[in-house]
Amino acid sequence: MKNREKKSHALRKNTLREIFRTKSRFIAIFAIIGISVGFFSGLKSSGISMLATSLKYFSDSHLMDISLLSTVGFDDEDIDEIKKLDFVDEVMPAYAADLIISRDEIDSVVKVYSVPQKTKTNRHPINEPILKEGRLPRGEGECAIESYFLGMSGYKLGDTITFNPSVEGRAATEIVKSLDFKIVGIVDSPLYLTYLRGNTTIGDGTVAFYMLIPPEQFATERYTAVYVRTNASDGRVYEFGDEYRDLVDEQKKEIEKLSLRCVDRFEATTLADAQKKLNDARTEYEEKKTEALDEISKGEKKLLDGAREFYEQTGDAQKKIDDAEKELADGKEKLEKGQQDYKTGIEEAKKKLTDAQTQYDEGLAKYNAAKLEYDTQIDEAEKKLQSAQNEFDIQYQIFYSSTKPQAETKLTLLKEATDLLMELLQKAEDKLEELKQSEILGKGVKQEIEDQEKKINEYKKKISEYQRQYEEGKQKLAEGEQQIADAKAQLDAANAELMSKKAEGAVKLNEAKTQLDSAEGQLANGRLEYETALTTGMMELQAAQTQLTEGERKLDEGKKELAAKSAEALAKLKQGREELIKGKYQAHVQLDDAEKKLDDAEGQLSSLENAKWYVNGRDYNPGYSGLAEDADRVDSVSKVFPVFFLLIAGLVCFTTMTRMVEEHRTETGTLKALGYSNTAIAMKYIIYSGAAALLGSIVGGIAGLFTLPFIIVDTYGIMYSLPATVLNINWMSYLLSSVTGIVCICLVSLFACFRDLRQTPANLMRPKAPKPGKRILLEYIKPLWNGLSFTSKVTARNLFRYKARFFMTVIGVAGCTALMVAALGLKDSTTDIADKQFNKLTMYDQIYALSEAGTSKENEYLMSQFHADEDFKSTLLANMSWGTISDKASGKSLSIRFTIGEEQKEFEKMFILRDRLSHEPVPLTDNGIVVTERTGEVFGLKEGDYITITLDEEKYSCKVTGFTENYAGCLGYMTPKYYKQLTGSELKYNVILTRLTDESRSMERDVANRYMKSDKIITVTSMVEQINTMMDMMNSLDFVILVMMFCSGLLAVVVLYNLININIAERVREIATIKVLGFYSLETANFIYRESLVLTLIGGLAGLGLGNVFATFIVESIQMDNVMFPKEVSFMSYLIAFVMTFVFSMIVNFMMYFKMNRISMVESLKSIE
Amino acid sequence: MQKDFVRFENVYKRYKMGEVTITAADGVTFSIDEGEFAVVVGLSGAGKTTVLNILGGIDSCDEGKIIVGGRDISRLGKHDLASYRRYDIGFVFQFYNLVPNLTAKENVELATQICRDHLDAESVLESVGLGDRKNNFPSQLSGGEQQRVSIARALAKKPKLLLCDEPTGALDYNTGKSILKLLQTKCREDGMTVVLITHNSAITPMANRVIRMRSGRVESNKVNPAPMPIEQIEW
Repeated sequence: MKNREKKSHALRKNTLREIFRTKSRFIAIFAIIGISVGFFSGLKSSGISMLATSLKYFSDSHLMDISLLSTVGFDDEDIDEIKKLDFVDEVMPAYAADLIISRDEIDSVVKVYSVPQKTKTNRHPINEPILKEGRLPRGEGECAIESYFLGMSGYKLGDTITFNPSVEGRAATEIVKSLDFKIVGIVDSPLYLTYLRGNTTIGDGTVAFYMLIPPEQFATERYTAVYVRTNASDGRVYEFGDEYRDLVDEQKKEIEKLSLRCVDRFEATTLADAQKKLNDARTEYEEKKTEALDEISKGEKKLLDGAREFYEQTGDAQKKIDDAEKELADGKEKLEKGQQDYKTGIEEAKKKLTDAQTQYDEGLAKYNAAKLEYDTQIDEAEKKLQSAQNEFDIQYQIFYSSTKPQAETKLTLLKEATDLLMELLQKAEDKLEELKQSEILGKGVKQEIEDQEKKINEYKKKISEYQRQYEEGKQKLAEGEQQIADAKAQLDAANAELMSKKAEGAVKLNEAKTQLDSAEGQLANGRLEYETALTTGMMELQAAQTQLTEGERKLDEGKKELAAKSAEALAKLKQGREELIKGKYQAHVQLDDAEKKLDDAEGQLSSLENAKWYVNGRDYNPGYSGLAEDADRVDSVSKVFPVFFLLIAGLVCFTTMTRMVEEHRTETGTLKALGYSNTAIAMKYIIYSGAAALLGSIVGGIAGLFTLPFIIVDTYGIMYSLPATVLNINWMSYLLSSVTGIVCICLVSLFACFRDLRQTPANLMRPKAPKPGKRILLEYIKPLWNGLSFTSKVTARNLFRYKARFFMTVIGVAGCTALMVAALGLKDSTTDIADKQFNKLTMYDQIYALSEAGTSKENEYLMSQFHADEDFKSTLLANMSWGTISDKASGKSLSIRFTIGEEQKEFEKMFILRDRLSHEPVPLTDNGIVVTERTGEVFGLKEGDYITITLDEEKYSCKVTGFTENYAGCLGYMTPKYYKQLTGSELKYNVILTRLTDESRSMERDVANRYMKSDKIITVTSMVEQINTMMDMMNSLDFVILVMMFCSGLLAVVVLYNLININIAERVREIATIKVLGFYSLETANFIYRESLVLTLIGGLAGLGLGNVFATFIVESIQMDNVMFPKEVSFMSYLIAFVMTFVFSMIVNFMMYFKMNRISMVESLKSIE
Repeated sequence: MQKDFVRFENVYKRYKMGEVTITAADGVTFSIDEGEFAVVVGLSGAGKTTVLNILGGIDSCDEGKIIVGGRDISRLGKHDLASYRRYDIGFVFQFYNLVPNLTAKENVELATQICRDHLDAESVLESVGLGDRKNNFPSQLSGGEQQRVSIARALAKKPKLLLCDEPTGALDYNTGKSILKLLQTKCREDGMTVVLITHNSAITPMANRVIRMRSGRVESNKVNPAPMPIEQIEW
């Protein structure tokens, strides 16, 4: 016994020494087991830590198991009834309401809860919120708001939140007592685990945030909600498990049963009472109405009588006035006639007078003219006569004083001249006779005869001339004398005529003068007469005028009096009437009010008639089921990865231990020869490796368990509002992985030394024959082999020499690459989807919720405004509504949002329906619906399948005609025609979707604000916020990915290090030899590296393929029903993973370089051990 | 033929084994002429291997000078030492140190591929009498054959100095003899300087020079004017 102890003691010492001597080998096993166990148990604990954190939160905050909502609310009796159920531990009635607040002219719906209250039975209020800051609201006008919202809005502690005074046509004050609430606290409610705030029926349909106010601040009488804690959450069962769900489902059924009774009682008592009250009220109302109507008709009659009297009296007065007025009018008329007559008379008289005057004037003018003519004629005649007398006198004078004597002188002279000539002629005739006698005597006397003869002729001629002239003169004289006598006679005759004419004219003129004078007299008379008549007429008329004026004045006075009196009466009447109308109106208003109240009450009563309780479990809380899903997702990731880690760890350890056993071959032989049992010898290796594995699993476990869950839960904490992480160690996983690791290592060690232990000591003490060189397959392919360089041949042959190591390295490296590909692939799947979703698929920027849903015709005008707005790139009138898509066979059911666009063309601008891979458009026809790819996947749908959808509580069976690429949300599309065909009713559009020309946030707000002013638009939802939310969600996965990448890298380094280490250790002699041969350091290193690089290459390539499988698996296991992660690993990710693997390999090689340099060449001289 | 082709001047080599310092070479001084077949003989631990290692550029000395072909190699850096081994030294190991994964020819090529001026691998193998085994792996060869491959590998580099560390140590008598014969022939025919270490004094007559060592010192350095052919030596 003692011996044995000693023996084992010595062996143990040997083992311990071995550990210290071969630190790196020990550390390798330690590290790889540590990483594997740590990663596995850490990840395995992450999911459950997340759930544990939530569960602690649930139990600390006393999260309800069942929440009740009712169409009619609850009263204390209901509460008591629920309390009586044997499984119910605690019951808390509460209030909840949806109200609207406006911030920056954008409406948000806020869910208002009553602060959870302690009751007699419970020490903690159910759903107790975590107070983050400040205090819980206690008094009037105080509220606490959620911390998540606080971060996003500008509100601070101490600010005041103001509700819109009306909510969907109801006054907000009917729901809460005041509109202003001051923020006194910041809380997190266990009802909300994520940023999801659930849906609501008002506003844009989404709750923006929640807040708590004291229950007394609710104006509603009946409780709106009841929270129940049952024995399901008393710690007996796991609250995320099926058992809990089944238990709660049963309890829900019980409560539903109870609800029927309570509803019956409600209908029998409260409702009946209310009905009776209502009926009474209606009766009273009818009576009062009749009374009031009577009074009104009485008043009306009085008023009518008064009016009649008034009109009679005023009628008489009016008649008198009318008479007077008529008389006056007559008088006026007469006066006017008199005036007219007077005027015409005057006018006539004036005319006569004027005529007479004219006549007289004419006569006078004629007389004057005649007189003037007479005078002129006489004067002229006298002048003529005078001038004739004068001329006669002159002629007479001239004739007798000069003409006659001159003529007589002349005649005498002529007589004398004739007598002289007669003498001469005689003388001449005497001479001639002498001469003529002479002639007969002689020559030369002839001429003288001729001359004498000539002279005689001339004298003779002259004498006749003178004689004629004398005769003529004598006759002329006689003629002159005659003429004068004639003129004298004529003159006298003219004188006599003038005289007679003068006398005659004078008589005529006198006569005319007399006549004129008498006419003048008459005219003067007429004028006088006229003047008199004018004056008298005028005076008469003036008198009449005065009379008339007087009459008029009197009439005016009368009229005025009447007007005053009638105005007075009228005012009185008017007042009476107004009073009556007012009274009547008031009466009617009151009556209407009363009637409306009655109707409302009746409406309320009728809405109360089909009272129903909604019994919900925890999974009704938004985000609740997502939490479990997320935890599962982490679990899924932790399923694949660590198992792979352990596998690689096993492989690495196997190689390591095999190597170790080989190295200790001689020792084993010696020990065997010394008589140690196989078991004792094997124990060394088992203890060695077991110790490494144990230490590794402890250290790795601690490191993994105390870091990973915190990192991962905290990362998810970005999405969830959970309190500090509660570490829940998955001991099973830890133990399982540790034990598996340790056992594997021990078995591997055992297996490794088993081969040696079977041999005889002598055999063992001989050096093991080196593994014989062998031709490899490649060599038989001569052309290829010969083409290789010498070093390549060496590498190739070495690679295939140790097949186990070859495969191990390849698997190890492949594993690392695969893990990285998977991690990067996961990132690929999650990164772009927000961008793709909102920038490539659903491209609308804003949703304008219409205050009233209407047909396209009803929205025509509004749409024309939208169409005309240049701030919109496109606008679409659409119906967006939530429904359910369900499959009876699988029992699956999902919320689905249907979008039905009015115009196909605009629709296509907002929604890209396409196949994810081919990007082929998916047509939306009038024959069916198009759903998102993920939805199809969840329900296992094929094109042309029928699926049940629920819209407005009605179930329809739809044909699915296509699946479209989509990442976020469960969405469905159909055409208005198909909708009509499906539901049989005309589609009412409830939203307008827009794409903005300028997508900046400020622009978006501007446009939204502009339209929020319209009473047609109730809310505007910006897609920017949604994108951000989704980005956050996706980013939280990044951390998990980073952890995976880190661990993969670590694994890669450890695996490669270990393998290269072994490789070098085994080939120390070879390396030393080639050094002796004169290989430089780098050449020596390359001798080894080339192999590891080829192994990395092969492993890396294999890893890419494996990684794709991994990535698909992981993405499959983490994706949600309404979020699709594309199972695509990008080329970049493959490249990065591949390059990273090489980088890790290089790092390891670099580390090995020094190790190889340190190998002494003296080794080569040692004998083979 | 250069005189004092190899010269050791006061060479010291000390190993520290924990607290104990072992002086493996304690002022070693000797010289070898070019073309000589020198045998270093001594008991185990006499320092002959240390001397050979230092001479072969595998190990370094702490003090003293080693002149080979007029060059002091004791001061060479790592890289120069590698070059020295590569171009000047051929090494024949006691345990052949063939790369098991390479054929006989490939083992020779392993050496020749890094040498600029080298012999053809196949002809060298033929010259050592292994022409028909060139494509065999070491495991398919006998010990003597393996040593021949080893010698061929050393010779193929056309070294100035052939260093042999107990080349017959792992071989039987006859095989050993044939190996020694091969070495002597190479020395005589090719004028190769051979330094061979052995604990077996019996083979000293075949050498031109016999250097006896004891406790890290050179006991004697004698020239054998008439070396015997190996066939005549019996031990």
